[in-house]
Amino acid sequence: MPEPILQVRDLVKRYDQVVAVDHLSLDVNEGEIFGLLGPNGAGKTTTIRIIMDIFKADEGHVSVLGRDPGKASGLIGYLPEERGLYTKRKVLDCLVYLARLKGMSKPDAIASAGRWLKTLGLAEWAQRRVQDLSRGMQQKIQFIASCVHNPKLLVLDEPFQGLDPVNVEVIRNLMQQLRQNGTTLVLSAHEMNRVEELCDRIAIINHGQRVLYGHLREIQEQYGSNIIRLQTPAELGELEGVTKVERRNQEYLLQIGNTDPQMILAQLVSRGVQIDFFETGSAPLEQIFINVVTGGQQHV
Amino acid sequence: MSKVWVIAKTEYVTNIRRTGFIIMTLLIPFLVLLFLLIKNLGGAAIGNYFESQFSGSDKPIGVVDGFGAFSPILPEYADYVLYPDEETAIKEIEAGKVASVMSFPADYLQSGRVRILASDTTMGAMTRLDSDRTKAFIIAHVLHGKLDEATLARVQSPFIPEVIEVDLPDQDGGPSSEGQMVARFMLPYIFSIFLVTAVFSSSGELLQSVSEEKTNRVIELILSSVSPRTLLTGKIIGMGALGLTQILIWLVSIWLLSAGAKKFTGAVLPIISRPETYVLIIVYFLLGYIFYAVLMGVAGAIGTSHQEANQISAIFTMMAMTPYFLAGIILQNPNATIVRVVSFIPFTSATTMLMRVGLGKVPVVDVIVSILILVISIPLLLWAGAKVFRMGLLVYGKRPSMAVIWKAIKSS
Repeated sequence: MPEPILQVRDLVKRYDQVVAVDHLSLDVNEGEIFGLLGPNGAGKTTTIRIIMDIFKADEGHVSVLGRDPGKASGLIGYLPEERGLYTKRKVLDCLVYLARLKGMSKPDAIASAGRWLKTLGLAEWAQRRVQDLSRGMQQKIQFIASCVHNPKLLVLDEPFQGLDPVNVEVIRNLMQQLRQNGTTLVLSAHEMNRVEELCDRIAIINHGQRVLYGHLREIQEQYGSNIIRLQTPAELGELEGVTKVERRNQEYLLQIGNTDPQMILAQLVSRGVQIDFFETGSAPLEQIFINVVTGGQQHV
Repeated sequence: MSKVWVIAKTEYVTNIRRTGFIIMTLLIPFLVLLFLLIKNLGGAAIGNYFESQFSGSDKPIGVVDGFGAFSPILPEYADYVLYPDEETAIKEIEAGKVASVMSFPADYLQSGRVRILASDTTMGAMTRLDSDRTKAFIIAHVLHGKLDEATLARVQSPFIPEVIEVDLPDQDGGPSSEGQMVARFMLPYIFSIFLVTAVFSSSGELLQSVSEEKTNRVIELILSSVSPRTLLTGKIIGMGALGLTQILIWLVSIWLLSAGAKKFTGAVLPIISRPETYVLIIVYFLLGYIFYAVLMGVAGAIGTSHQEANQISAIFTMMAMTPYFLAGIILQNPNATIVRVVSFIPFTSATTMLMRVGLGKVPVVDVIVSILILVISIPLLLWAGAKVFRMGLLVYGKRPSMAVIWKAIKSS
């Protein structure tokens, strides 16, 4: 197996009394989309800032492509949670400047920024000031700023935050495109459905510790491949073969172990329960996330 | 290292187009040109204007002649009016026709005493009575008919100074009336103020630039690409080059204008007569700029908004402004003890020295000591400043306390 593109080993970061990151370890493999998940304040952004060499770790070690993070800055792209651009500069100037700070030559930076602006349909805005652009356009520019220098590893901290559905689609497609072109992505997000669509592997961290880590599919299977989601206005009552029931309003999540889902359906039909929706599958990530973070489940 | 240049160049190019910078830069050549025009068109008018500003009233001076030598007043002294007695003179003062009256008693020759009747006893009015003109007036009347014209003229005005700058033989000072002396002195003073302002404005640009990156959150993206030290160094170089451009434009324009003026009109520009002054101005500008730039960079990093950053920087600006507060003393005696002491304190040294150097000769010892003090203190400040800069940049919303700042300085 090839060397992971990003290695995080036993990372510790403390602020005064608070331990923000607590002996965190994880690997990100080349070419994958890795989801770094966790509730607010779990230590995601701190971990990312250490990977970006903005903060220094108190203990532990990070390596990007086998180098110290400070020495690999040209190979990493970053979309920070705190968005910001030079609002008074022209779009192209701003992008070229940021690309050059990543070590790109001026002609390469101009060419690359031009290509990206064209890809996102913003070519005619290149000579306008950033502040003249709409919010949606600025968000696209911000995304370009993170990958204009063609990084090997792109870290996206809440890339969908504050985007309208159209722009979410745009960014999602871009991410898949980048991945096809060989870029490795680390994605921190709260939109679990997006993470499910995009990520190959994930880590969930809570209170600075890793509480779940591995291939998304395997995790979902571990949490029950045989899951039934059903919607009904009625009370369910006891059902044979169901090991666990979770209820949210009219939606139920049933864990059924090795029982045949058809048998459950048959029981419901025979009782004359009104069923609006019935689906079999693996556990939704959102459910796993909530379980893990609220302590509903132990470490895996 | 190349990233430092990218940052420096970008800061330079972005800021050199700013309207404020362009206006400020063109102001000095414009003022100099204006001065030359006025001087050339109106001769000594500008000097006389300054003199009148200092001497107050231009009303005639009254004379009461108890002594006998002043009746009648000689025709060339039309600005002196004779009154028969003090009562009449007082009425004229009350009517506002004369500013003051000199009353010569019968025993004037023995006692030398003159009674002054005046409504205005401020220093300006008294200075006018004590002027060369009044002395010449008295001498002319007392010695009238007793001396030949030439001797009388010498007694009245024993020497007319002709100032020659010995260390710069091709530039003569020309005859210097009292009025011209004032002008000689105002223009360097204004120029000195501009020099100090240039230090403020360049380091102020740096403050704006840092604070802007912090406020619009672009700083996080920047710090993922370059270290805080690289960022601060790049900015200091960029803004320093900007300030240096400004000063060089001033110096070159002054040099060109004064050379041109001398060639075409013979007018001499009373700024910077010694070539070493040009060098010293650049040295003190650079040292002072770097010193304040680091302080401003730190202020920009720890302030959570433009406004707060400006408040913090105001503390440093107050220190740098010390020469303004001491302007009265510096003008009268650029080498006074308090001025020298202030020149040796790093926080006030560069700006004070810029002002002193702009005004005239400064002892070599002062120049050497002040430069040494700055050269030693700047690396120390840079070392501590870069740490606080790094710590301050990513703290949003809350200004770090002195304890936190001190901790950052101590950390390796």
